Amino acid sequence: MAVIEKRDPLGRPGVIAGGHGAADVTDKISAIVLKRRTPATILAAGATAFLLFLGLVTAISYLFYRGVGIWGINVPVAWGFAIVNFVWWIGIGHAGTLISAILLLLHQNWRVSINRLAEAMTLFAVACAGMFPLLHLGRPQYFYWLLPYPTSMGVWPQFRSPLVWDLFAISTYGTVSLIFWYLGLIPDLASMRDTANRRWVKKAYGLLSFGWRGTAREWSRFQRGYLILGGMATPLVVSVHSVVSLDFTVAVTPGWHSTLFPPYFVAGAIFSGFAMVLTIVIPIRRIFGLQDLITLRHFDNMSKVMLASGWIVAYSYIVETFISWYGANQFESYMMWNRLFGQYGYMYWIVLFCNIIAIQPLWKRSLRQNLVFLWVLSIVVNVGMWLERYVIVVQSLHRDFMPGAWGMYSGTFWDWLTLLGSFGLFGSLLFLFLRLAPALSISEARELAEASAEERR
Amino acid sequence: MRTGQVETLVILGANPVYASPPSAGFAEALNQVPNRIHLGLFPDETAECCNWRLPATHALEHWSDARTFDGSASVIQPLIEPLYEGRSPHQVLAALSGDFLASGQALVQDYWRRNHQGEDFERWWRQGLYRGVLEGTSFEPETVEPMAAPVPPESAPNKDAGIELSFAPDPTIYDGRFAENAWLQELPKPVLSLTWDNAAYMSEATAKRLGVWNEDTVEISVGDRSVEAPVWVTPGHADDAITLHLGYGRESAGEVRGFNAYELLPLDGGWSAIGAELRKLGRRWPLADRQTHQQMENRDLAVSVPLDRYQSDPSFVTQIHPPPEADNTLLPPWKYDGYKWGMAIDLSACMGCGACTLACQAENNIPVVGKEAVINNRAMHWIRVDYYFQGSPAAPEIIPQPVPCMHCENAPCELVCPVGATVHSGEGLNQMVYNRCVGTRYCSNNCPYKVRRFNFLDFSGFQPESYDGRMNPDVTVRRRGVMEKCTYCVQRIEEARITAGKEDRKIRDGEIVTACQQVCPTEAIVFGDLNDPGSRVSTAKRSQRDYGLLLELNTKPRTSYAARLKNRNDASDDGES
Amino acid sequence: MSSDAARVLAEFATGRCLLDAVQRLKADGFRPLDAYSPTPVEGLDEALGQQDHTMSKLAFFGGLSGAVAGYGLQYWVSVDAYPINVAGRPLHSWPAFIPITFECTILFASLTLAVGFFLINAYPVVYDPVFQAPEVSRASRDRYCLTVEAPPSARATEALERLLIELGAESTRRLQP
Repeated sequence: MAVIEKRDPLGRPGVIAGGHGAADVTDKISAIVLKRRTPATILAAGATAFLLFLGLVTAISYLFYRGVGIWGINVPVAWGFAIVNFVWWIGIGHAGTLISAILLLLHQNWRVSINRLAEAMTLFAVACAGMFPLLHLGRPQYFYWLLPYPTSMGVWPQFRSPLVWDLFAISTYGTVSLIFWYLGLIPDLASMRDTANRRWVKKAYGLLSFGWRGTAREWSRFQRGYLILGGMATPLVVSVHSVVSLDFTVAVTPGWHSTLFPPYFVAGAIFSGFAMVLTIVIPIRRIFGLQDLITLRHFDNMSKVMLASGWIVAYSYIVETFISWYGANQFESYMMWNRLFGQYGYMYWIVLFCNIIAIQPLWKRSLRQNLVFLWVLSIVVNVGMWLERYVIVVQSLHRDFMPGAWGMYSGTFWDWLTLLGSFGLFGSLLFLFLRLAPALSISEARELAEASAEERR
Repeated sequence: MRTGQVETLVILGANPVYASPPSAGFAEALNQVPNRIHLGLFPDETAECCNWRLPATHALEHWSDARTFDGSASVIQPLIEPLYEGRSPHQVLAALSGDFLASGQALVQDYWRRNHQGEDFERWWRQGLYRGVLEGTSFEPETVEPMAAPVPPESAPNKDAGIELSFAPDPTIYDGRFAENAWLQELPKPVLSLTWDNAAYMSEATAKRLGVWNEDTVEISVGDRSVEAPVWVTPGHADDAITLHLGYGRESAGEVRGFNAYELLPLDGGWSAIGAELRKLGRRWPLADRQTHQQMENRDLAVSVPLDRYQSDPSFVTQIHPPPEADNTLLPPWKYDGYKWGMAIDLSACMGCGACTLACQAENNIPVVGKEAVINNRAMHWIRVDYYFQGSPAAPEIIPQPVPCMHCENAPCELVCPVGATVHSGEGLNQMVYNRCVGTRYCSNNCPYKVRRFNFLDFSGFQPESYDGRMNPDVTVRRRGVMEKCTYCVQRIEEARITAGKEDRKIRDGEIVTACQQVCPTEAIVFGDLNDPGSRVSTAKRSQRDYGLLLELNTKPRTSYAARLKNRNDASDDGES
Repeated sequence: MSSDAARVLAEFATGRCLLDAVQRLKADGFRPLDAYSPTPVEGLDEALGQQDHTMSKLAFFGGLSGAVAGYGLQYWVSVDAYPINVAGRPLHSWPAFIPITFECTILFASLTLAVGFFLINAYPVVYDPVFQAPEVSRASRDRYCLTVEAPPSARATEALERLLIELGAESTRRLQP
């Protein structure tokens, strides 16, 4: 397919390339699921993901059999990989909501080509994230005790605990993300129903689309509902990572107890989330030949968001270090000294490299549109953001107030298997999603195509 | 024995095959004896060499007697019937003299009947049993003159003579007889804080000179005998010398732990050997160190000041730990009108023996976790003793500090528990509701004192039946995945409450004695009602030396410490006096 | 929506044609019923008199009840049902109750919205007479369809069909109820 780069008045690449019409766009996107054979690379990736997922099942089975002692956690470091993974995954999820909700409110039409993928990524990341707080419980079978339900013993959850806030925030976030994602899918599922050839496939998509016909009334409700959901998801996404950060800030532990955390965590979440979107979108675009729909404009914009959120993160690092010195609190300043030069110091320097130094080339437009560079960078940022949470969780805990109780922490085989397994779960869900649902928003892509067709006329 | 003159040898309880230098050849000599009989609690090394093994009774199972430190005789009475039909040494000796059916009680009682001078033996005996000591059996006090402090030799030891080895019984398992006692194995050795192993203790300078460091395996040889041992650098240890603890390396006491220092113990009955050589083997020997960091990092947690500072400024401790202002909170305070439990620990009195740790373990059914778990910081002791080194590594001051739960009034742990599994009682106890705990471990993360312990694995499950008798029926056994911590011995509080309730009165001061307090040989721990101004704990807390840990966090700890005063004898060279 | 009368279905190429047709038809006294489009056509709901603000109301009242329920539950549990000294904090620790109140607001609003969307659209729609027309299946791709109530007489229906073609319809079809 000849790619004619359409550029807007600012000289940026267009949101959708090459004069595609509504029909074209519909066919192209639905064909990924309905017509095209699954590319071998995707099959291989799916198989790998599923193998890793089996690893997760093994790790969880052994965990339930033996207890959380199979992990490296101890006292003082009573939280380890599970919480690091939780914060990391939930952060990943935030980019999806940001793209679909915040950019929707800001009328950024470039979101259209990537919002569906990003929303799906959100859902799967929340699924991965949500699993960890449950697994990390000493008695996971009683997780529901955090829920407020009437019991015969008359006991209730303790609402001052940030973990209860977390439960509410994560479950709300998961639910709202699911609703938002599914609502956006309904018109597309109808397109799939109408495009599919096989009878049972038609039936299945018909059911999933609830019988959407695209009436003016439906569209009216849809648009209004979608906009309201976007408007609610925006403060929600900010609140979720703020609440996650409150898990730390409410504690007295030096390195956790900081009012900086909520904005710092939200920025970090967006930062890592956009990195993950890049990690996923770059190969998918190539494999499915979506160069016309996901253009360099998207990568350029996403890189800018990464650069900006990366700088907020960098600013947070600076403020955190400054305050620990300026605050003249003995425990805080020791914590920061230990963070920089202690036993886990090397990790912090890697964090600084990955999250600050490595993203600076993004000031240059040619690198923002160099997909190989971006893909490698996105992995670097993902690693950096995981390590950042590791440093926050582990390094802060391992040396807090009483030197007599200090200790070291390192993950065990089971910690690593659980982490890798969560990639497996994520990958498997993503694979199923790519095979079963339109990976790009058909209806919104149609709108764009119509609009540009209108312009041409 | 070697010459065959001994026909029958009865060994009562001792384990000389292990607890003697192998080069002394006791085992070979023993084999020359045709009839070898061993009475013991366990099939130990000596029992394995004997052709008769007799099951002994434990001190809790038999009648016996002993002397107290002033010589008063005390009668040991059994607490339970012998579990495994053992016999006491008294009974065995009686049997050897032909009396096979003698009861332990009769043997002990008859001895004292024979030795009793005075009227009415029955009354005297019964009173002795009731009181614990037999009246009028103490020794005459002797008058002694204090010895002059030993003056160290002027000249430094000759380095060419090699390294000097010095031997000592192990601080917890003694000469090896308690090697099978997991409580003692896991009790951190005073000051060193090692568990489950012995080591070659040496000073930092010596270790550097020899090119070794902690956990390096070395071969220590004296003459043609050698052992492999892990190195442990010990601040305050003399240079060019190595201390080895006896009692480890036992082969018939479960898994072999540590190394057998008897191998190098000289035959002359001395406790040191000169001219040892040390060779690094290039292997690691992991050691389970309960407290990996023994520097206080200028935090003044365990306050220790010279006596003259106290004399010149008795309120010095408020400068080090200024108490927070009473009203520096926006929140209304909770009132504690009834009892208000609190604890005071006097660091001047504490000598860091660790008895509190063990007593607590026994009282509160605290599981033993094993060496690997101790390495991984999972030891379960509810009251730990931190040992801090202050001053130069060559001659540091050692400050022990027992740390139980502080029962903070504004407990950070409670705030973060999502299910309310740790909450405050009306008397100010920071309570742990095991049943309700889901195991988020958030409370432990938020405990600035790190006194919470978590059942990472099923530490208390799958115990042999014989352990059942060890458990305290008043205390819940915690299951996997549950947090636990010091309760201020709430079961004893409740017991006292029930007793007081029956007698329709308040609980008296001193009626509740926590397990740690009960065993403390220096009475450093006091517990009681803070609302009673006359209670011992209130008196202790009125001391000018009294301070709380990490007061700046406004946790309002109920456990407080009395600063340690040191009265250093500068005339003496070897550090502490 | 209404399926009790015969209808005429017309197929247009663009949303603009459809919108123009609706306005013209109304002016000519016909009753356009429903439009089916692959993308939302701005102003179409207004033209058809099908503007719907229910979603906003649902979200507002859902959110309001969520806030009240969330805070109320926490207050009742902490102060009334299970009053217990936790960390020396007051029973009514209102700052700690804010995050959950907020989350409940969003959760209730979103759920009300979702359930409301499902219910007021009468989902799932398993049968609609327009499903007979193959043209409608292109309304999810690139065609804009319109149904108009068929006038009672056959002549008037024919006039309607002619008018539709005149207005740019590519084809028309009669649908039985």
